[in-house]
Amino acid sequence: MDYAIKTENLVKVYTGKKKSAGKPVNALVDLNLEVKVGDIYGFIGPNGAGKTTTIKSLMGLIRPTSGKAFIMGKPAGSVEAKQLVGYLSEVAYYYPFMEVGKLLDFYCSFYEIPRSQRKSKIEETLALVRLSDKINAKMSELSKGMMQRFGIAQAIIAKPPLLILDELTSGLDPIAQKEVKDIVLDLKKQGQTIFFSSHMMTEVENICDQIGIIYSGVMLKSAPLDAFLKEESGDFSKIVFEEASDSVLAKFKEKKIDTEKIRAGVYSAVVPDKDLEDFIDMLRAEKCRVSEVNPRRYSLEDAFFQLIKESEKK
Amino acid sequence: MNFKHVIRIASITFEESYRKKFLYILLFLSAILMVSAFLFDPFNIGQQLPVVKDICLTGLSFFGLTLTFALFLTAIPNEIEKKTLYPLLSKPVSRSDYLWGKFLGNMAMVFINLLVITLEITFLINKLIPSDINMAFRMAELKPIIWSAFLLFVECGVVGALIVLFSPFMSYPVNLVLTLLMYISGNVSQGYINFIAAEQSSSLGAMLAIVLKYILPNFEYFHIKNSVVHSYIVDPVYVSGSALYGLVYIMIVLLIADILFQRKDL
Repeated sequence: MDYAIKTENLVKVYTGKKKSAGKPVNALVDLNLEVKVGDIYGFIGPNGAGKTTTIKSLMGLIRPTSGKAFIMGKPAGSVEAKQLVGYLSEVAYYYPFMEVGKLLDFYCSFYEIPRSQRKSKIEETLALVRLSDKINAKMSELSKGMMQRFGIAQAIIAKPPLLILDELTSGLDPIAQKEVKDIVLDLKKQGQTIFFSSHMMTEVENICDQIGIIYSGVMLKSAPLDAFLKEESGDFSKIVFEEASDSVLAKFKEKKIDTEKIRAGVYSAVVPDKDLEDFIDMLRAEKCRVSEVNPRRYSLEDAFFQLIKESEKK
Repeated sequence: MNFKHVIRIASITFEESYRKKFLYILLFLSAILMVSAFLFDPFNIGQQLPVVKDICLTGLSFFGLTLTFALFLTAIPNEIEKKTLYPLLSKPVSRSDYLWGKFLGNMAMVFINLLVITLEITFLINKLIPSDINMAFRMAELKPIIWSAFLLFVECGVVGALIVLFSPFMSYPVNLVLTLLMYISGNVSQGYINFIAAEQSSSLGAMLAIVLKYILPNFEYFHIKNSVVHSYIVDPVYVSGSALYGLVYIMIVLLIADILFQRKDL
């Protein structure tokens, strides 16, 4: 099997004062990650879960405490591995005094691309990220969305077989988010292997084939997107009910269904469709008024919260 | 280490540093200092040349070292803090390429500035030498100024290398204080350190003084200002030896910096 990314029991413990207020923090715990060539892999988890630490380890920006990581079979962080990967960091600044085209040329110069081909490569890449008209603009003149598109441009300039994108749309407005997502979808159509981290579930659900969920440095689950949705047993409905007593809420709790308070006496719960009738009967028997019943598909977001909840219980 | 990569990083570092405003302020201040030296016409004409040389070389030294501190102190920490080195280090660039590139880029800026001011000084001093003086005497006066500037450049290199060594791990103020302490200690006469070693009652104290003597850079080797000011003969062999000492010291410090930087989490 050809893996674009493979980690073996990757561990990172932060002992510095800044990250941990003096106490060691286990940022990654025996992380085993396998991303196949050609996959679009979404790496999701809440803030502080270890996504950026994993990516920084893959890029050689931090040294793992133990374990191994490989990019296309080469040791992660080595110059050979970096020849094969394009990287967009979560927060990146670029030399503000430089022009867009010149800065891309600078980055391009570290690859074995003949000088004669660089100009056409730069023009082609800027066209792909819709920044052709900014080739002579100073980096300091670009908006945040443009800067992120430039980030993608510098990552793909040498057409590396693997792209690692950290928090692709973080901090962008909806228009810029859509523009950036469209670029990634274009790259997906071209068969590019992409590994990207996000905490935005819909973004991941729309783009990715494979998903990995990380929480507190532990990989909770890594599987194809479909497996997440199928395994978690079919469809659900959301019920809104009023005049709920404590005994009603206790009955939901008994059946391990969470209730959410909307306002005083009004609650909602997401129940499996197969049990819907039973719940409605129970609510009527308890003299509750059922004001709303809406069909709800089990989304990646539900799977994510379910896994996190299970992990916390352990 | 890839030499082409080092040069590319050095060139962008150079490009970045010449946009810094303090550079022009420093240049302006040193130009004023040096021009004002020519307004001195103390006791008699025979005294003017040493006084002007003294003031100019002091100004040059102050300018060179201030520039070195200003350029090097911010170069690497700024890139770590602003994360401009993330996109760069994600390219097929090693950390060694980056570190040496930053050092050479900033040293190129120090070199250009010292060169401009040194040429300015030699031109002005040449004007002070009476026109009937023959070329051999004229060159004997001017050459040591260039050697002095050259050794100052090497001295700046040693200071720059020390700052690079501490940069990835320390804040600007701590780095500034530590490098300044090393600079001041490195200016203490070797004879004085030998005296301290001899005076120590405990062998540990004496050993510490001797270890410090060899670890700290000996900046005295680079100071030939007194000989230049008083028109004593400056031995080119001494200049070459001092430059070689400086170069070896820089290489060793940068190699240590390189090893430590490889371990740094960014």
